[in-house]
Amino acid sequence: MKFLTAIALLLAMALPIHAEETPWSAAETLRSEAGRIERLMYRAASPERDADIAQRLQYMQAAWSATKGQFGAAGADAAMADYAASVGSGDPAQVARDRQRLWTAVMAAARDHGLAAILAGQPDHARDWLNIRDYARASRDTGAALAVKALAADQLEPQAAHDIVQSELLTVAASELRLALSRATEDAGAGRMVQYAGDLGRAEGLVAYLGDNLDARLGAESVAALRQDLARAEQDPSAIAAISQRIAGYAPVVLSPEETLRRARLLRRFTVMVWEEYANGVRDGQITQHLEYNESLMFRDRAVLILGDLTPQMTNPADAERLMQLLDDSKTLILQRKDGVEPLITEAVSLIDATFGAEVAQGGYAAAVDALPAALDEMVLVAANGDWTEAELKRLEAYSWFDPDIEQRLKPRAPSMALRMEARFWEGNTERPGLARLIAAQVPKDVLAAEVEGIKADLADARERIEAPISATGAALQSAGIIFREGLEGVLILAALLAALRAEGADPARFRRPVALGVGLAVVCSFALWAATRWLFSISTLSREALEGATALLAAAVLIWLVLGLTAKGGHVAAMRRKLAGTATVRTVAFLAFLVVFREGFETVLFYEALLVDAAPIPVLLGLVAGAGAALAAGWMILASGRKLPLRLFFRATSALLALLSVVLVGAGVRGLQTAALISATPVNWFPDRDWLQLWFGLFPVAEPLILQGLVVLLFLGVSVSRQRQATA
Amino acid sequence: MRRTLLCLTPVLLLAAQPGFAATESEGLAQVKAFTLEHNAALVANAQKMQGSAEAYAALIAAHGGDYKAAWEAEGPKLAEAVTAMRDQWLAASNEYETIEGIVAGIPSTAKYDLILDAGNPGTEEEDVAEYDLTLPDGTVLKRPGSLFHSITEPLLWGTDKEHVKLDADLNGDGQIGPGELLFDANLALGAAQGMVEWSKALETDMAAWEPNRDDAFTAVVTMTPTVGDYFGEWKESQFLGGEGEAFIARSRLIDVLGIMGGCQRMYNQAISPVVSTDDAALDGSITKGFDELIALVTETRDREAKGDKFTAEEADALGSEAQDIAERIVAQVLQAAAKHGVEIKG
Repeated sequence: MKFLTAIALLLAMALPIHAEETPWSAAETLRSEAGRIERLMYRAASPERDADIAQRLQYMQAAWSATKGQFGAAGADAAMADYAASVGSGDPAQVARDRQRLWTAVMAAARDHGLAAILAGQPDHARDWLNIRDYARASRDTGAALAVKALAADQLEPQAAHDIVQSELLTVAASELRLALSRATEDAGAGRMVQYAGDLGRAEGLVAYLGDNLDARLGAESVAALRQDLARAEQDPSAIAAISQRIAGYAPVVLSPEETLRRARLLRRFTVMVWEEYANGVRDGQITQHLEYNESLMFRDRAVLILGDLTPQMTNPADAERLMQLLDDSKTLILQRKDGVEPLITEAVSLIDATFGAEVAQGGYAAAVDALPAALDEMVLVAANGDWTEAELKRLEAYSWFDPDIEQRLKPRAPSMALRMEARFWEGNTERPGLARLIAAQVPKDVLAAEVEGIKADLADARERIEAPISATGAALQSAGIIFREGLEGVLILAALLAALRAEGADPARFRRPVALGVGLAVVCSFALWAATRWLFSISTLSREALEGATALLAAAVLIWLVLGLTAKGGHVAAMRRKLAGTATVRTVAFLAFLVVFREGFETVLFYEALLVDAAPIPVLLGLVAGAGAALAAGWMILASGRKLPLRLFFRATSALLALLSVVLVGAGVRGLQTAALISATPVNWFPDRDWLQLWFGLFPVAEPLILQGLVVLLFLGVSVSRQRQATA
Repeated sequence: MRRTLLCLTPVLLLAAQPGFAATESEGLAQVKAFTLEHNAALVANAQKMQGSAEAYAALIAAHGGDYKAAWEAEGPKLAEAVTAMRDQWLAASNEYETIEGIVAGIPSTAKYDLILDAGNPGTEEEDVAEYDLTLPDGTVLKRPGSLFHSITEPLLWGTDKEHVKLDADLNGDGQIGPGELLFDANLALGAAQGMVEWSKALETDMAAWEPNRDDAFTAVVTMTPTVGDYFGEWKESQFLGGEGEAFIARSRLIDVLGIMGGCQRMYNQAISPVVSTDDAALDGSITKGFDELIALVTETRDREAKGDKFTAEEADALGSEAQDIAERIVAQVLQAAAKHGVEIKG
C-alpha cells in the first residue's frame, strides 16, 4: 500500500503543474492534502510517515505557487508559509491550527474575487471562485448558488445577486465560528488538544474572514478584545467561554422574516428529533441502537447551529440563553446515557413555540409544500412494504398538509382546482380513483405511485397560482368572491325564511332580533374558534371537517323541519299559521341563523387570513364589503319581491328555495363527514362531475351525499303530494 | 493530468474506484447493472448458506433434535457446517454492503435495507423491518428485525444466548473458546431461507427500478451522512475496547466502505454527468471529496486490520473529519440539486 502511495505521489510530483491548474482545483488540493497531513501527524513518527508528509506538503506548495498570482492575496500567501513552517516543526497541534487558518484565508480571497466577479456581471467566473467556500450544514442554504444562476440568466441584477451571496457566506461563516467555539470547549474538556488547536485556528481564521462585518456589528473595541481572548485561548481554554459570550448577539446580517421562520422550524424539528432518536437508541442506560444514539447527538448539534443563527433575532436574550443551556444539558445527559432528556427537550420546544409563535409548530404553507410530497412518497413506500394501515395514516398526514396550509391559499385563487385536488386525496372519481380508494383496494404500487405523481403535478400548478404576485384588483376580486361564495347560502336561507314568515303574516320584527343575534353570535364564535386554535389549542384538519359537516347537517335538519312546517296543509293559511306557531319559534330561527353562518364562518376567517398573507389589507377590505353587499343584495331582492308577487306564488317560490338550500346543506354536510374520514365515499359515473354543481349546489358525483339528498327530495315531494291529496279530499 | 494522477491514490486503485459515465442515462444504467450484479452474488451466497443450514439441520434432526447426541456422533460435520455458514454469511454480507448505499438510498428499494441489514425489530418505534419470518417448524416470528444483524449475526456467533444449544469445541483445540457453540437449527434454516427470499425480492424490484435523477440525488444526500453514525458505532465497538456490548462479526468500517462506495459510484456515474455540464469546479470538488472520504476510511480500516492501536483522540478526530467531509459533500450535492430543480425525496 505504501509503495503504491509513493508511486502515485512521485508520479504526481514528477509532472509539471499543468497549465489548466485553476485556483479552485488548487484550493481543493490544499484542503484535502492538509487533512491527510493532519491525520498522518497522529501516527507515531517514522521515516515513511515523514516522507509521506513532506511529499504532500511539497505538492501543496506547488499547487499554491502555480495559482497564488490569481489569488493575489498576501494573507493567504503568508498562511501557506506559516503552514509549511508548522509542518516542518512536526508539532501536530500547530499543524492543525495553521491548517484551518490557511483554509479560511484561501476562502476569504476567493470570496473577494467571487463577489467582485458578480458585480462585474461575470457569473461564470463568480461561480468558479465561489466553489472555494464553506456551506451551511444545518440550514442547507442554497440561495447563493441560485442567485448566481439567476444572474447568468439575466433574472437578477448584479448588486442584488452580490447581496444574496455575501449574506449567505457571512451567515455560514458566523455559524461555523460558533461551531468551532463549541467544539473547542468540548475538545478541551475531553483533553483532545490537537483537535482543540484546530478548533482555535478555525475560530481565528473565521474571525479574520468576518473582519469588517464584525467591526461594523460589534464595534472595533469589542473585536479587539475578542482577538485578545483568542490569543489567550492558545494557552487557556477557559477564554473560549468569553469569546462565545462576545459573539452571542452577533448577526452578520438581519434574517428576513421568512428566513427566521424557516430556521425556527428547523430548530424545532431538530430539537424534537433529539429526544425521539435518544428514546429509540438508549434503554436503561445502555445504547441499544447506535445509529439512533449518534443521530440524537447530531440533531442536538444541528439545533445549536441553528440557534446560533437565530439568537440575535430573539428579543429576549434570556430565552436564547436558556435554550442553549437546555441543549447543552441534554447533550451532557446523552453522553452519559442518563434519563431526564425528555423534560429538557419538552421545555426547549415550549420555549421555541413561545418565542417564535404558533406558526413554527403549525407548519404553514412553506412547510406544507415541502412536507406534502415527502409524505406522499412515504405513503407509497409503506404501501409497497404491504403495510396498508400505515399507508392510510400517511395519506391522512399528507391530506393534513394539503388542508389547511395549501387549500386555504389556493381556494380564493382557484376554488375549482382546490376542490379537484381535495378529491384526489379521497375517493377521486370513477375514471381516476383517489388515494383513499386506491389504498382501500390495496392496488399495485405503480398504480398508487402514478396517482401520487398526478397529485404532485397538480401541486406544482397550485404553487404557481398561489405564488404568482397578486394585484390590488385581483385581491379585491378574490376577497369579494370568498364572502359572496361562503355567505350567499346563509343570506338566501335567512332571507327566504323571513320572507316566508312575513308572507304568512308573522310579525317580522319578532324575528329580526333573534336572526341578528344568531348571526352575530356565529361571527363571534367563528373568530373565537379561530383565535383559540391559533393561541390555545390546535384543531386537526379532520376535526375541522367533521365540525363543518356536522354543523351543516344540523342546519339542514332544522331547515327541513321549518320547511315542512311552513308548507303544512299546503296553502291553507289558517292551518299554516297554527303550525307556524309550533315550529317557527324565535329560538328555532335564531338557532338556524347561528348554524348557517357558523358553518362557513370559521373557514371564511381562515380564507381571509390566507389571503392577507399575499395581499394588502385595503383591497381585501374593499372586496369584502363589495362581496358582502352583493350577497345581501340577493337577500334583499328576495324580501322585496315578496311585496310584489302574489302571496301564493311567492310562498311557493320561497318554500322551494328553502327546500333546495336544505338539499345543498345535506350535500355539504355529508361531504364534510366524508373528508373527516367518518363515513365512506363511493364515486358514481351517472352523475355529472361539474365544478359549478359542487361549488354552488353541493352536488358531488358521490353516492352517499346523493342518496341522502335524494331522500330529502323524496321527503319533500311525498309530503307535498300527501298534503295535496288531503286538501283535495 | 497531475491532479488526476494524485487522485488515483493506491487506495482507490485497489478499491476499483467507479469510473465516470459519459451521459447521465448511461451512468444510471451502469449503477443499476452494478447493483444487480452484486445482488445476484448476494442471492448465490444466501443460497449456499441455506444449503449449509439444511445440512446442519438435517444432522440435528437425525438425532431427534438432541444437540449433544448429534455433536458426539457428527461433531466434525457439524463444525464444518457452522464454519461454512459463517463464511457464507460474511460473503453474503460483503455483497450486500457493496450495494447498501444504493439500495438504501433509492426510495423504492429502501425497505429491503431494513429487512436485510438495518431494520429494527417490531419492539422499536422507528425503522422497523416490516416482515414476518416463518420457520421450518411453522413458528412465525413477527417483525423480528433485520436478517443480517438482528437474527443471523448474533445467532451464528452465539451472542444471542437464547438460541445457543450447546457449547462445543468447534476448532478441535481441546478448549471451548468464545463463539464455539451449536445454535438453533430451526432458526438458522428459517433465517437462511428468509435471506434467500428477500434478496431475491430485492433483485426483482431492483430489476424493475427505472433509474432517474431524483432517486440518484436522494440516495447520495440520504446515505452519505451516515458515515458519522457508523464511525460512532466503530468507536464504541470491540475493536477499540469501547463499552459497546453488541458483538459485531466484522468492523463497521467495512460497512462504511460499502455504503460510501455505493454513494461514490452513484455520484460518479449518475450525478457527475449532470453537475459537470454547468459547474465543472463543483463537480471536481465533490469528486475529490468522495475520494478523500473513501481514502480516510480505507486507510483507517487497513490500519485496524493490521492491528494498529488508535488513541481516543485520534479515533474521535477520524470520525469528526469523516463527518465533516460527508457534510460538505451533501451540501455541495444539494447546491447542484437546487440549481437543477431536483427533488430530494423523503
